[in-house]
Amino acid sequence: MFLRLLRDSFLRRRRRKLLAVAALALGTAVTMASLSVALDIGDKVARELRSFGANILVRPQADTLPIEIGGVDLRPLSEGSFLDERELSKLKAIFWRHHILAFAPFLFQSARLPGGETVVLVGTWFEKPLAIDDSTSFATGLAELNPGWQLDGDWPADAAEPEAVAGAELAERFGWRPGDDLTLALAGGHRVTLHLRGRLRTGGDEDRQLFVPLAWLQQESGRPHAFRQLQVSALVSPEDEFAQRDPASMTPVEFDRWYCTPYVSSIAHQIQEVLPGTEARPVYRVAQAETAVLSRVERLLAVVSGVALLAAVLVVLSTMTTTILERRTEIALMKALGADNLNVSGLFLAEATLLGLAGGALGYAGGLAGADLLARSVFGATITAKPVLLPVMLALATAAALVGTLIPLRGAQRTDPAIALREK
Amino acid sequence: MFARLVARGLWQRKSRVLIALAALTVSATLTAALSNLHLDALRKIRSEFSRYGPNVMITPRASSAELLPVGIARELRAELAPEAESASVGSLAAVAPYLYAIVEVQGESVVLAGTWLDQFARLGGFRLEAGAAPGADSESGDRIWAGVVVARRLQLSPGDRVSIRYAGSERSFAVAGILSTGAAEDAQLLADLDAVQALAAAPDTLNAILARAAGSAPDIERKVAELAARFPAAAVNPLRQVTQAEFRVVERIRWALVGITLIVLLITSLCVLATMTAQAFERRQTVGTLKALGATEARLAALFLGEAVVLALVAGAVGFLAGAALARWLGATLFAASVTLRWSTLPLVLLVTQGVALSGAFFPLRLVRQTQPAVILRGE
Repeated sequence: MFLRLLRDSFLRRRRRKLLAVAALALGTAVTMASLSVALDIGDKVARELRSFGANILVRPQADTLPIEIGGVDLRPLSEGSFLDERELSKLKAIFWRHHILAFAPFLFQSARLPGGETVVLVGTWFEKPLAIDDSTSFATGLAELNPGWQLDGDWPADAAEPEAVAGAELAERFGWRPGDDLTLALAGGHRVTLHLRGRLRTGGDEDRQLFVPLAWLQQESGRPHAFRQLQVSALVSPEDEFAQRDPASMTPVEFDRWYCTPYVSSIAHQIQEVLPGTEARPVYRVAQAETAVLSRVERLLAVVSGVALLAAVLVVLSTMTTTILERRTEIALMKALGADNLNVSGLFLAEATLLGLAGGALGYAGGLAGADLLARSVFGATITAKPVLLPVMLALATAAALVGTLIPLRGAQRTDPAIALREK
Repeated sequence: MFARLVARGLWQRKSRVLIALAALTVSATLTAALSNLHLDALRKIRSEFSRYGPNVMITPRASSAELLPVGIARELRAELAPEAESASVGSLAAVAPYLYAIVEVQGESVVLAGTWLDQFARLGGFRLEAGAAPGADSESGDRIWAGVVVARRLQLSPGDRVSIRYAGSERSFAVAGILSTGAAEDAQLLADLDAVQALAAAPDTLNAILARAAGSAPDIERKVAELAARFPAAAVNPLRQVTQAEFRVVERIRWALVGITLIVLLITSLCVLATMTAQAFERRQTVGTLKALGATEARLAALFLGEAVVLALVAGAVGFLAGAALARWLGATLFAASVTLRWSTLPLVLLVTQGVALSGAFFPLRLVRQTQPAVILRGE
């Protein structure tokens, strides 16, 4: 009897039921879309923030003091210690290897132009495919490390070829254009000719440097595989109070938690583990700005999705309330025929549950599509579906449907059947 | 008569009207809250980028071998606001000049950077490991701050005295604190500009000026263009990685917010539509009676639209106040920012609410037009 009533209710009032399912689906979809965007946006913004450049700097530990001005180490190559570039594939073997977005080794040497001026040669990787193991390779280098830089021309090949990219200020001063050949003298008077492939404008110190392939500079200076400094760009989560603590003072459980969270400090720690003899330090100002921006953005989106959730619940409530108010006569008739409040409630709540489940499932799919559309148009990236949200959405829609039914139902049940029936 | 019809029409169906009113108020509240919060939240996010420190770099135009006159930095400093936070959009919030000298300390070569220490502190981006922070009050003539790497290698701690040699001259400094930035400054010593200029016998010269312009990325670009025109001898450039990151992040957040707000508005207006349609359906009898009594369709439409307008006005006013309060509370608890009540958003809120209400009344109007008095009044 109960099931027949339920089935009849759905078959006879198809339009009304469709409206309720639509409202529930819409509400769930909005919640789902804003929740997906909010959950994903932290990651997207973090990626955008990587255009700041490196957030971890790695240097040899046992070293004389670097003479660094404007990001360039001015020590002659006869001084200080070096690192070995063959070790670098190990960076993609640390616990948070997928969070290492890019890195590039640097070697510096000054050179003299025919006019007598000194320029700094910066040897680095540009777009190097680094073999991680036999089957995979990882594209890294200056281009990946600083996606915000504007290059006019091409990056040189990462081979021991005499090619270069000039900083914009330098190129402007000497009237260099991509395609020109530059002659300069390295330390010791050794003369070389560089083929200029491009011109780089960053607004920073790089505008006054001359970038050459690392392999070529190593070969010319007789230091195979050596580099001075490694810049790493890692995707990090905002530093909280816990991240500020000294790992040495943590309990083993806390240490595990710290180690398994992609804080900039724990990633730096893991880099030190795989590259012994190095010191990896987070670049404080980048980490600070990143943390501040990320936590603000996450909070803002949490608020907005909370507001969207509220709106969705209210929509569902009002639609369900309307549906129940319309069926006051039906309730009165059922009661006049001898049904008690429990029977009536059971029927209506069962209906609400079915509607909620249907609406929730539809809303999950719709919301995912909506979030994907939003992410595509705003971020040019896709949203990863989070199946864990499906039960959450089903529960949410059902709960909203039940609450939306329960409140007006109690009012309707209180009405005397005689009065409700006479109204018609 | 018209007003009475509208008022009675609303009053007699209180519970129904309340639902429509609630839905409209929600959409008004959300519009008000999000439009009020939007500007302040984005400004707050934007201001977080200033934690990166400098966003403008001024260097000698011709080559790195030549130097900048210190006059440029002095001129810029005279225009600074007294507090970094109170710098107006498009003006500078901090100006730190730099002169570098490669000096000898305990037989090791170290880079000594001379700057205005209060401005260095304003730019920020460092962490104090020990000792006193550099600032305006530090009578800094013979005080020096050491980067962590230098401090460890030369075993310096706050209170120590170090003797610094440059070419022929020598000068003694007291270590005031240990700083860490994670960048080149870790391997440098930092002292007051005048002291470094005196030591290096290079008065009135600079290697570079780092500055922070307040405002958004376009404001910074404008300021850079203005400075470049003012100082033709200098190369003025925005630090593009900072300005671009800011621009892109803020734009994206803005669109994400607008997107979510639009979706929310869409569903609330659908809700209003559903409620109003259901109401019109229920009032077929009234419509039939009015038509039988000679009401024209235009008058009936005016009646329905009048109701919608009254509802929207009430909902808009209530929603604006509720939304402003919500934005204020959210701003205070989540962003530690005071969200100012913007009366300029009131017309927007009223407009959106009217739009939602009128579009909700549009479908019912068709229903009214199709109503045949004879059919309705015959019963059923």
